Parts: sequence; C-alpha cells; structure tokens
Amino acid sequence: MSVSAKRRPLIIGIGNPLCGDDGLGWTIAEQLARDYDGDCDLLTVHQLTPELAQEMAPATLVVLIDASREGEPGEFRVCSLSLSALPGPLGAHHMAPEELVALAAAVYGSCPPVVIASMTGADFSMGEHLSPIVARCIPLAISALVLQLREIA
Amino acid sequence: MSQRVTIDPVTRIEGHARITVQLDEAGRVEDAHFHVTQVRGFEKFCEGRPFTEMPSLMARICGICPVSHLVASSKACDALLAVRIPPTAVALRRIINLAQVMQSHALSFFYLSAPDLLLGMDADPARRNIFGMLAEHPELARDGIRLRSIGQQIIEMLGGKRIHPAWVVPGGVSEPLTEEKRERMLAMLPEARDITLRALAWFKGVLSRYEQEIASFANFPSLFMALVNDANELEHYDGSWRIVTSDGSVVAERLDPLRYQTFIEEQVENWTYLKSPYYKPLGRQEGMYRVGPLARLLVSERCGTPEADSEREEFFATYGEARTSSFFYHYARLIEILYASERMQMLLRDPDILSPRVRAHAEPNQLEGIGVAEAPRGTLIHHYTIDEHGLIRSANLIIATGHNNLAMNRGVLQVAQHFIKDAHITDGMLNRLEAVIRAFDPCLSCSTHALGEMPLHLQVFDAGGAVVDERVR
Repeated sequence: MSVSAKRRPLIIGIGNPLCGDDGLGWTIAEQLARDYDGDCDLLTVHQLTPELAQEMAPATLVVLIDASREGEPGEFRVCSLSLSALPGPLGAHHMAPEELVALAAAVYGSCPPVVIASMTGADFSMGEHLSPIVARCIPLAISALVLQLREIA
Repeated sequence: MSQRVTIDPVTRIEGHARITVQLDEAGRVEDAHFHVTQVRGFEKFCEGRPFTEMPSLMARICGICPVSHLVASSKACDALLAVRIPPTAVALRRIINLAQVMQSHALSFFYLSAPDLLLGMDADPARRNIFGMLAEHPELARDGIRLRSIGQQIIEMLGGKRIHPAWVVPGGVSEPLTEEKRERMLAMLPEARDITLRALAWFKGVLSRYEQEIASFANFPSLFMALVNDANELEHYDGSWRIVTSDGSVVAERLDPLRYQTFIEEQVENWTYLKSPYYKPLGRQEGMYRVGPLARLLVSERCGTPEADSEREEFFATYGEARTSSFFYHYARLIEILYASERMQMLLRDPDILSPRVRAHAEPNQLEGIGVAEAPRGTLIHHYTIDEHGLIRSANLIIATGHNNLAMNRGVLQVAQHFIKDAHITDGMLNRLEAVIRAFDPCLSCSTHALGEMPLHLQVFDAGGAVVDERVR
C-alpha cells in the first residue's frame, strides 16, 4: 500500500462542470489552490469515491467544496465535519463525506480534520458556465477559504 | 394463487434495474425477468453531430468504463477516416484499455461482490459492505482500494483525468507518452500484480463455501464469444471473434467484427429497454451467448502472459466442466487483472512506446465505420454512418451487458428456481438473485448519477395484482 507521505492540505472540488452551477466546486477549488500561498494538493471529482480515502489520509486538512441546492443562490457555508458520524452502506459511485472519513480512518488509521464548504447554485441545467449570481459570489468565498486554510493548516 | 416477487432496484450494480419473479399457485417459481428500467437515448441524440465529437460523447455513456467507449468509438472513427493508425498509438490505446479492465474489475470484485464472498450471502445486509470487509479482512479491503487506484492513476497519467479522458481520438491518441510517466506506471504495476495474486489465493480458498452458488449461478450450456488474436490468445483491442460452446467446441472462428450484422441479431422485448442479441445462425434459443472475462478465458486457448496462463490452467484443471458457471466470472476477473498487469508491463517496456508519432490525420474517406473492442464486461460494438459533411446519420451500439442479457435472464430464473421453494422469501434469497446479476457485472449506465442509496424493495403480488407482502431494506 502506498499512501503518499506528503503532509499538506488537500482541496477537493466536487461536481459536474457540464451542469452549470454544479461545477462551482471545481471553480472554487481550482482558484483556491492558486490563491492559497502555502503548498496544497488539488483534486476535482464528479463524486466522492472510496479511492479518495487514500489521498485524504496523509493530508493535514481536507477541504471539500460542493454545490448545494439548499438556501439562497450564492449563499456560502463552511462547517467542520463531525468525525463521530457513523458510516452507512457503501456505494461504488458515491459516498457521503462522513463515510469517506470513516473509511480513511479505518483503512489508514487516521483522517485529518475535514472542512465542508458549499455554495447554493441557481442554475443546474446543461452548460459549462456558472450563473451570474454564483460567479459574483465566488471571489468572496475564496477569500474566506484562504483565511480559513491559513488559520487551520 | 400465483404471486409475483419484485426486487426494485437491484443493488450494487452499475445502473438501475429490477428483478421480478413470478410464482405459480403452489408457490413454485414459474418465470423470472431482469428488467432494465432506464432509457438513455445515446444512439438517437448523437444524430447530426460531427463524427469527431463521437468519442467524447460516447464516453459519457458510462462513468466506470468510459475508456472502453472511447476506444471503440475512436476505432469506428478511424474507419471513417480510412486510416491505419501508428503502431505506438495502438499500443498506447491497448494500455489505457487494460488499465480500464484493471480498475473496473477491481471495482466489481472488491467493492461490489467481495462483501458477499467474504461475509456470506446470508450475512446481515448492514454488514455486507466494505466496512464489514474491513472488520473481517482489512488487508483485502485495502488491496481493493489500492488496486482500483492503480488502474485509475494509469488512466489519468495517459488520458489526463480518471473519468472521461479525451486522449484517445480519431486517428490515434492526442499526445505521446513521456519517459517520466512510463517509469511511474512501471513502478506501480508490480504492486498490482502482488495484490491480485493475494486476492486469487484468498478467493480460491473460499470457493468451497459456494458450491450451491457455483451450481446455480447461470450454470447452463450456452455459447461464449470474445475477440482473440491470431494465436487464439486473449485480445482486448483487435483480432477476430471466436465462438465456443460450453464444452469448448468451436462454433465459429475468425469472424470479422466488421461483419457483425451478418451473425448477430438484436431482439427487442417489451419488458426491458435492454436489447437481447443472439448468434443468428443458431436462432434465439441455441444462439444465446455470454461475453466478458469468463467468456474470454473460455474462448481463448491461452492468456499470453506467464502468470495469468498459470492461473488459467489451474482454473481449468480444478473446475473442469463446472467452469462455465457464471459464478466464475469473479475468478476470471482476477485472472484478467493479473494478465492486464503483465501485459501493460510488456507494452510499456517496448522502446517504441515513447515514439512521438501517435496520430494519423485525415478527412472522412468513408461514410460507414465500425469499431470493436473488448470492454471489461465484454465485446463492445460502435457502428456509425455519416453524411458527406461528416455529420452522424446513424449510430448503433451493442454493449457487453446487452450481449449477456439472455444469459442473465436465464440465470435469474435458475437461481430463483434453486433457492425459492415457496412464497417465503428470505434476505439471503434476495441477495442471491442480485448476486447472480452482479456476477455478470452489468453496466446499465452508471453515468445517470445513481446516488448510492439504492434500497432493495421487495413486493409480492397476488394474481389480482394486490400486494400481499412487502419489504424494504
């Protein structure tokens, strides 16, 4: 088993960039990785899958960024994941963040703190562009996440 | 009073499907069907698109095996261009296709089926998952994650991303391989080989617990079809089709995949969206065939790599006539992963693999193109026609799961008749009905965003259509 020995934050953008605002997780993650002044790793994925446990385990901090349908368009939320959550049955296509953390801890012995950042999308229809309101809100969200990363990492 | 049992949806498969079992008045199984309940429309909505878009469009059919569609589609487009692609491009396409086989088989074996094999078909469904595996056999669970990751990393190194890479293009591949990437891939493959040998040793050790499943999981005479090379060895990219019976007799060989319409008939049923192909010369009943890893092992005379050949010989020697049970798809998957790790190393060690000549450029020179390759689950056919402007006029796809449709349905019936003796249905029975389907590893379109929360819904109907029993897990 070869888990990378690197110890730095891991940023994971989640979503489908072909479905409008569903791709905001990728956009924020890519921009965050550029704006953050420390070393970090970046992954962009459609869904959370079990293999990500291998990437998460050696990180100092994991930031999961995804689009949400709840709340007002552009609304941005950041919360720490409760590591006490119990894992449910595992799907091959998709895992909940709690399941992934539990898997990383069970397989690799530990999992770093996990922060979940989500922004409410306005338009999830087919297309590679973000809605204007989401595009306007993204810079502020990135600034907030950079501060958070500096504080925690 | 006749009754009908419905399992909807079937869990731990790629996509959405339902199983119904019809009981007669005495509670005996009368009939069973595997229904594919989703329609995708890929063949229709690509009409009018430029043919150059087809590989990327077709890759979206599946999030688990996009590379297979990419390869078959690009081969069909090569035919439209009427070009012979550079040998290095062929070798690179072979490598990414084998990496796809590795990661897809690892997903099927370790994530979807190993919980049944490790914990038992009758184990508590809440434990029958990778967390249950971790508690029981942590090394097996870690190995599964790592093996799939190796396959995906090779795809990512070659194609630029793990899912839906766009590197395989009409005429070849878009970029040559670098020395640095070659060395990184070669460094990972021995670990893949070691993991696979450990999994094989474990699997062979537990097989004696599954005599009933071996006997009843689609264990009946049928044809088997796969591509082979000129030496009748395993072939995943090119070659010709060979068809054998369950006892190994050759029914047909050197069949040109480009002439598939002369010997494959596609039947449409009114209870499923999945077409039911069969070998036309023998008719629907006798012409039922199976494809995929088990078929490839049975159709070929050798794998063509030393360690995979050794495992293949042991499999044939140990299981003799029983080797045609679809339960052995699991066994065949592990042997193919071993083959893939050996074969990728051979291909990567060839000095020409770093050649910069990896793409042929041309305008369309033919209005019809067919591309065939072996996907993880079996033979995959892409057939396109275009107009004078290069726009798609028609597309016909026959996917591996379609080839296996008749056999899967017969397998569901066989399992139902073996395990359901009266109207009383246990969880273990339900799981076996799903497990026989899982043995084929059907891919029913994983790109439709299944959320991973697929409860098993069982309903028992009386003859009048009223629900007399119902369970959800």
